[in-house]
Amino acid sequence: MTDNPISPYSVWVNALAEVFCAMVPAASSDAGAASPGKAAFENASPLTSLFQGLVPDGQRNPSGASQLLLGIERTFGGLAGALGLEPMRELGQAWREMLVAIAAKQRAQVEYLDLVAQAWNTGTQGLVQDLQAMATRGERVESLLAFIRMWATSVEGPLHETMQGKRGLEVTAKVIRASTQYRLQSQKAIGIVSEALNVPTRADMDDAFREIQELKRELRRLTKALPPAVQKMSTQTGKP
Amino acid sequence: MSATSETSAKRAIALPLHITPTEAMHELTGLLGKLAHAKRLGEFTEEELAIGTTPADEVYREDMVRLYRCRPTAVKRKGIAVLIVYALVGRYQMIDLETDRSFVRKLLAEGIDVYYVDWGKPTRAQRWLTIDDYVSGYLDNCVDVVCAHEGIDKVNLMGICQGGIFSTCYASLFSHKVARLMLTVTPLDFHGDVDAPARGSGYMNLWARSLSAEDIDQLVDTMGNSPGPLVGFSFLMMNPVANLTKYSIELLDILDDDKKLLGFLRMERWISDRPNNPGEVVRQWFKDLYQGNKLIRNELVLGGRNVDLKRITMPVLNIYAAGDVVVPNSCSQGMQGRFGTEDYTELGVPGGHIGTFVGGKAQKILAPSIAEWLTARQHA
Repeated sequence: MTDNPISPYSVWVNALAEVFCAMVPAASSDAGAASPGKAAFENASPLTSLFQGLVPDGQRNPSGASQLLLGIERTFGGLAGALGLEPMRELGQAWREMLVAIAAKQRAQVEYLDLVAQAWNTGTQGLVQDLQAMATRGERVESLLAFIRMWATSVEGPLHETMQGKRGLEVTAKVIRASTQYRLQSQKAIGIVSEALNVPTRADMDDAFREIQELKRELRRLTKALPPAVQKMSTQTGKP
Repeated sequence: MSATSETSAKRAIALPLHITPTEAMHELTGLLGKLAHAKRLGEFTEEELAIGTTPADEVYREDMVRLYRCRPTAVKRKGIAVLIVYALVGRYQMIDLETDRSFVRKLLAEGIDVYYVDWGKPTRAQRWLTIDDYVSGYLDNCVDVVCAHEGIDKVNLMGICQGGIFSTCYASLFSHKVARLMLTVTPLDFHGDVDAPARGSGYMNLWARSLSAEDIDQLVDTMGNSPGPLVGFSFLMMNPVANLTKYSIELLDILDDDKKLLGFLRMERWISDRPNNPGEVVRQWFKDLYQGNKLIRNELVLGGRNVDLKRITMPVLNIYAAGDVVVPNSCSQGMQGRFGTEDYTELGVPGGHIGTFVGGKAQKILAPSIAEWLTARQHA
């Protein structure tokens, strides 16, 4: 491991110091930038705080407990490999990457919900304006159901506008990317387990299905090249 | 009282809400009374909830694909057969949802013989199917079977939405096998909405274009087949608030009306039955069509062959729905001159994307117009 000039000793010392510091509640450095709803969600989420402490996330927690894990891995990893526990090491790494992906997905989802909440709020403000306009015209809302329908109409517009806008599309794309990344990491972890247990992996199955499909295509090409009379016989085999 | 609270008080007074507790309770009691009818949900029989009930015989099968021929109902038949090609994102039963809201039955009543393709439910094994496999494989085989059954050389091909794209590709690549081409709610120009954006319309187009080609690749690589429920969810998110009220107060409102409730449940049965979409079809659909808009530019390549719209020299009937928000009119309308035919007809019908086939107003226009258009060209 030559990618990090820090000695294993200093890694351990720094990591332990970070772990102790983390026990004392402190304001997140970027909490001010987040909206109140987003910050509240992240603070209230046990998964977020757990993952942020455990996984190497350069932006939020450059050292911390992740460094501790890294130190253990560097010190004892080779020994575990020598004992035939290589798949466990790989799985551990895949698991840590999956945690990072979960945290990223959660953040993207929070951002999405935050945007939806803003659109919702705009729609509700629009409803109040509509009601005031009605009052000016001397109209009245006397039915609860009619009021709910009015609200729905008022919210739908801003929601469309927001989600079809540049920011809405960006945030949606972010959720999709984060979800895909999480799925990719999950598949990686399952692939390691499958390999270790000698069970066909997803990639193995994909390869087999791809070959079958290519053979089917070839068969179709050859069938179409046959004279019409023979081709007709071939088509008739498709009768129920 | 502070200035702020005085303003708030004035605003509260200005609102025209005159819902008294008594009236609100009265309304709520009415709704709760309707809830008593919810037991009907468990009383409907499978026969009552069935969709796609027009009698039809399976005439061909290949993998998960089936070709059906509807049993004729009209005393006087026109001697015209139509092959209907539905989309992959939903099931074919949309064209035969209910006895009195069945596009298929209306065509049969006009004396038209109807065949339709059921694309089935692709499994993990069908993950590598491409658009070309559907067009040059399954669809071509279905066309051959229809021709053999009817004793004809060319079919009247009718495509719906995504099925319209498949039919267009087929008509270009196999123009010698297509007598007439009918397209309904088909997004021929995937970028048609770029210069004509409309709120609440064409969300799929915008969403697909906001992703990069790499995003699409990674999506397909990780998912394999695109899960049907995910497609269903993305349709729901096109109108989230409307769907919120649809499954709450609107549903409560019709609980005591068996006819409306059955209509609702049958539609829901169709909506929730979304097949998975083969990964490679999704990849090509998004990259080449939603993002690249290659069909209208005559740049789409299927199985190594270029799909050139100018090779579509047979008569074309292009039907769009005036209130379509899934496929904006700007994507389906105004295709005159794009094809190689002089005989191009465009028809707008009232209603939305699905309403074209189940809506009362559209139903009065759609089947009779198609029958009339076909009859006028029967001996041409």
